[in-house]
Amino acid sequence: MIKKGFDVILHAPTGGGKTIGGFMPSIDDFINNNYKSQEFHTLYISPLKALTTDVQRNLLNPINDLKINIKVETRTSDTSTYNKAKQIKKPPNFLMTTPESFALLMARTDVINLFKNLKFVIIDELHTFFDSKRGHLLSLNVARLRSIKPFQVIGLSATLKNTNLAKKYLSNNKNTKLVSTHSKVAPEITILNSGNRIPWSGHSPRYALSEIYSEILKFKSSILFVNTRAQAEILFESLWAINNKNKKIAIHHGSLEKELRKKVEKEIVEGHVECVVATSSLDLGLDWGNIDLVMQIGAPKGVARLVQRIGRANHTINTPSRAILVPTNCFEYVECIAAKKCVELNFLEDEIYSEGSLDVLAQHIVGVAISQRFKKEDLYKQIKEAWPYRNLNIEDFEKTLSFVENGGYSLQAYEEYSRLRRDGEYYEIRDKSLVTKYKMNIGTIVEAEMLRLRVGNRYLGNIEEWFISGLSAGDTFIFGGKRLMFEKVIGNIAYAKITALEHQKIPSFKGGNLPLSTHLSKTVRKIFSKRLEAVDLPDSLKKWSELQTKFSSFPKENEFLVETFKRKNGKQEKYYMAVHPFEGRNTHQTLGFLILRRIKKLGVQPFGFVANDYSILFSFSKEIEDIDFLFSQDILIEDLYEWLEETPLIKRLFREIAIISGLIYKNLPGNQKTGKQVTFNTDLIYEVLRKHEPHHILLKITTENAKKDLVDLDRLSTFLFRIKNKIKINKLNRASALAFSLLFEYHKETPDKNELDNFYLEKLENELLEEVNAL
Amino acid sequence: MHYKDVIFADKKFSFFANGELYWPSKKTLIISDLHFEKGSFFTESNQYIPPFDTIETLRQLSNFINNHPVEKIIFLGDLIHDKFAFQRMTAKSKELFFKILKNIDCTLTVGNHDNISFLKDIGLTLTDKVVIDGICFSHYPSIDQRFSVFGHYHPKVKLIINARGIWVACFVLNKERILMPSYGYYTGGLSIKSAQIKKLFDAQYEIFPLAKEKIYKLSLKK
Repeated sequence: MIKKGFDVILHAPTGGGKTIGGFMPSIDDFINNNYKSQEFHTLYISPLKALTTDVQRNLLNPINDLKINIKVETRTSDTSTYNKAKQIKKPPNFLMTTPESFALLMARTDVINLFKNLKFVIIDELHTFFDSKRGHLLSLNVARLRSIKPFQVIGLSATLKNTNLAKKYLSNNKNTKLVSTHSKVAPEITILNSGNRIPWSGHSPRYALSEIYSEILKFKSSILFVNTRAQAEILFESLWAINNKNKKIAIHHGSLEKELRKKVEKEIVEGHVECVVATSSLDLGLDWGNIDLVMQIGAPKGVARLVQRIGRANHTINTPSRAILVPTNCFEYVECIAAKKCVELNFLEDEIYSEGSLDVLAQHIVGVAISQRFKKEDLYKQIKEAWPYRNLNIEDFEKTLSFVENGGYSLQAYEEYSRLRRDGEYYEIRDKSLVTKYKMNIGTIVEAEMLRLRVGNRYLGNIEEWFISGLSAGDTFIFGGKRLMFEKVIGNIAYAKITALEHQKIPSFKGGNLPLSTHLSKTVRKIFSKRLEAVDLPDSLKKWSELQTKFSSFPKENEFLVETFKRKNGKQEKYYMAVHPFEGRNTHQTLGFLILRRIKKLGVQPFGFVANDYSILFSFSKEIEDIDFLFSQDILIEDLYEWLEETPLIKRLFREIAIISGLIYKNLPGNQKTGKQVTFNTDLIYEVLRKHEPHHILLKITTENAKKDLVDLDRLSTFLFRIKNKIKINKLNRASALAFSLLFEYHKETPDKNELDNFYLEKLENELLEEVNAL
Repeated sequence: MHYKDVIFADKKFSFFANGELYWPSKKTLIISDLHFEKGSFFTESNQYIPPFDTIETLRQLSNFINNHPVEKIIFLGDLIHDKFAFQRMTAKSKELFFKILKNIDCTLTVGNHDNISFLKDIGLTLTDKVVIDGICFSHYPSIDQRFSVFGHYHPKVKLIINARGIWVACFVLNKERILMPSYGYYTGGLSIKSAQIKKLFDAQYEIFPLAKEKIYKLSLKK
């Protein structure tokens, strides 16, 4: 099929040789056509820098064996300027690159000449691009390259449910073929059975630590996946504390300095590291082949995600991958049962996609302008060829273009100083200084304000500015498995030194908190509705389930369970309402804020709420009669927009959009040396824009992004529709087992931070447990 | 408008939540570091920040003038961000600013951003410093004077709220000195813990953070 010139999606499980398979037609074409010149023949694009070198290595083996003269090189942000320049003079035949480095190539003025003999573009981990701004950027550049020179696209993916979506994304649905293999043996998944009591709350695997350790000992090599970087740090440290067999355990997460990560990756390949504690930084791709065991510590959150992670083990096609799930609390145990079931039935989530974001489009337009002058109509047509932008209307396009030109302000124009100049029908850049700024600021991933962490004369990695800002000199914390004492911040560098002191804070990095997938949440609800007795449960969980049945109930499949109870807190009597939508943290956060507003409207003083993936717990001053009113569907019309305008989350989103769209540049030439940051306070910009230019395109993008990412509006409205007339209210005289976990969270937040050590938490849990009558 | 009264050099002054220093007995308003047209300045580096900072600053100023008796304004330097600021200023901003200059006695103690040749003949008295009742007002600290009120540093302070640090602008006060916050809309700042500010306030001092239209008072001892 590939030979016939179709675009092809190669869908095969990890270990199915799909990466090499994806290159075969390209190698074939190279040999058959006696391709000799020094020109780009095949572009391989991967979401991970690490994958490019890995695939290069795997590809060079057969190429060297077959003694074919193909030059294979990588080009990422790690490639030296010298090598990059060399690659332009004498292009390698196969180039392994990332969406960002590809975009930079596309912004070159010699782009037409550079790719005039290009035959193939291979996109790896295709599914990661459907719903991301990186995917938008990639689609725009692929569409543009296609308008310059036709070529075949090959998409590779190991987990793909919605193959139609993949076809559309890849080539706007024109004649894409699918090659799918499903011969792989189903993975063997078990849930770790620890004799100890599974906690009712929290996210600590400490109760099962010795079992986790003994599993590690059984296998030559293992990956322990956790959900957040904070969990990675804690687990890593706890494992070393009991590591009397001196197993070589390492840690890997995205905040660690590049060199440290590379070192760990290399050591895994060479077998020097036997066990690695990792976050999603190791989710994708790397073909190691030698991993015997994958453990998922904490909630799996999504089926496809779990499959991807399990796939890291045992890259051979005929033997099953082995995976052990380690839930850290009772809810997670049920989630693990649900996830295991879904994996066994190969019941994966549908991939979601998003409409092309206009901030990415703005960035792209600058890239195009740098490369070539363009006519408005031509560009519009070309952009619509990129599938995420197929619905782009002319008004939004023109507004985005005008924003790129000079900010797009209607009340006061920056015409004299504009970025683009018009020459008849053509648009072109005003001066070349733009090129450097574009290159220095390309990309769609905007991290929180980061400081580089320096210990002695080494850099350990990047750490969130807000975390450091909460520390005083002398405070201790863990990073990269090291105990550190904070000293000072100078410019954008945080200084710390190694310490032996206990009582660390753990940077609780944001962004590691994926919400429970809709799909998995449905299965969890199903398991709860059928009563847990049907499932084989460990004793501590049976107790939990019995208590819930005895004092309250489990929600039936289409029921929405609301529990109310009151508690004496010191002298004060507080009313509580625990609700269990199982719709994931993001949705619950939004719903929580909206309900809080409604409670106020009822004339009741709310004290606050806490939310997790499963439930929301509210507390307030007196009993609420009209609970149905709280959850009526019009909450989305009346209250949502009011809330959106005042939440600080939207300002964080605006900052991301301001940076991606090029309103402000994070990096400017000359600033990196001095460490001086010329970053504007985007909160101020957001406020002034709303006041003076409420219809500005950046505000529109912010609202659109917020509806999807911040609020998950679709999910919220589906939920409110689902529960209409199905609210079951249980009035209780004590907290229920289901409400317990959040009650714990709620009270954990009240005490002084310094008291928050493990002793305090255990004491709190025991006190609450007694109250719920569980011991 | 939220404010706090302070006694400085035996006189009563008020610190206002937007960063105004008001001297009631003299009907005098002191504001510092307005940095007109800082937003539009960045077109130079192809950044098209919403160009509404000057109008925001001027509206805030007009609002103060309309609500308090003001016979004299001292701008403590860095009125404009760069020498072409007036050329980029909108008609609306110019109108507002020149109305103030026409009706009120205005003095600018020249700062490092102020290019004198672009500030001449617009109804603004230009000088290095103004001394009233033994208190010296200037852009930079007047170290040789007993009482000095100055700007230049854009002091800001980190407040820790819910274990997170939030930076806000502030007044810094001790017996001899007042350091003014920047009055401009887009202006950044320098931590009060930085060496430059520390060496000016070596004895006991107080800071007055400006947060959410309110002004607070914190005493710091070294």
